[in-house]
Amino acid sequence: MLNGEITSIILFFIGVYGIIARRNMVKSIISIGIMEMAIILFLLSVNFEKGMRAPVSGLTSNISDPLPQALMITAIIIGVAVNAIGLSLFINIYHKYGTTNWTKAAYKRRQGGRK
Amino acid sequence: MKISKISKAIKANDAKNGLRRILVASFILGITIIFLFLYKHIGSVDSVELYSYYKKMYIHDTYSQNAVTAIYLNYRVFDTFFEALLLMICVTGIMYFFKEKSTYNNSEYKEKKHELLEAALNFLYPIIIVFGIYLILYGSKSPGGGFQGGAVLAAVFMSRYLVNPGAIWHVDSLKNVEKMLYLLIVSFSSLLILANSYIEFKSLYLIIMNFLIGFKVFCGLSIIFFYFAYIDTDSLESW
Repeated sequence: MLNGEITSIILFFIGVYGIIARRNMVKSIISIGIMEMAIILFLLSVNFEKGMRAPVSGLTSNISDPLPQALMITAIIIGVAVNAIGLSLFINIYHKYGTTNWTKAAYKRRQGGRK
Repeated sequence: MKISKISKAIKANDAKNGLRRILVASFILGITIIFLFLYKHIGSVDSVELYSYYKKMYIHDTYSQNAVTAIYLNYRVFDTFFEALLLMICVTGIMYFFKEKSTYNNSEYKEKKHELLEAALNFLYPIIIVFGIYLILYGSKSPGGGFQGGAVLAAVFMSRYLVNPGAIWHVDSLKNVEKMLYLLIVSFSSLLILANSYIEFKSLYLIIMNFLIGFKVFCGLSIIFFYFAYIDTDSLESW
């Protein structure tokens, strides 16, 4: 009952909840990571049936779809890049405003500068 | 004085926050249920034509035993270009954000050595190198490929860092190597036209492209790791 697609839909909306309801920057970055993983899981499990084999070593029959796998390699590397950029932005903001809270950081920014 | 004011305001918000979180959670739960319902009744997408074409033709077209390698090095090589470019831009961005030099000293890192870890990693890191190069070179025949092999190779510098945290690294040269490798990837893949007309050239093309991509990913991930590891020290030469 709980196949890859259903799991990925549930995981994706857990990530959406984390972004909307939480005000912690690190938790936002983690939520973005969860959403990425959900999308990767969804696209890998689309068009998959039980008993299919990996598309390697010259097999031509009964192999799983190679196109989403090739695209998801790209998506994983892009996910690493997004997480790294997000964390470095977070470190910068933390050095500047000394808080991990979005609203506090926005308030301090309106007040003008480092406190 | 301002900080106490802010925290007071945030504490006042906390009561509101509880209600807001419950509202958001129920709203998202509703959307999730709608999506699950849609998924149950519409079903998954079919990509039968492309799938059957790749299934039938990938060995004949690309001489690769691995269909995934066939796609990302031959059918959709532009994806690989821009993905490698994105990783390079990410590295540049991280270098820019961490430009500000901190006054933190790295002497306390030197005392963090752990003997068991050191012995284990000294034994393991040649194996990691061999395994990464195996994944890269046999990426066109067996599971593996440039990206995976590069990510495994990046573990070498991580283990070196764990063994000797106080060492000084020249990250700038890695960055230059990465730029050179990206140029080589772009210029070499213009030989794809040649590869598609000469059969002998096809498997060589796959191996060389996997090699270049693997080392580029290795350089990029190592630079990202070093910038995060040495964020509070002045061990990086480029700072």
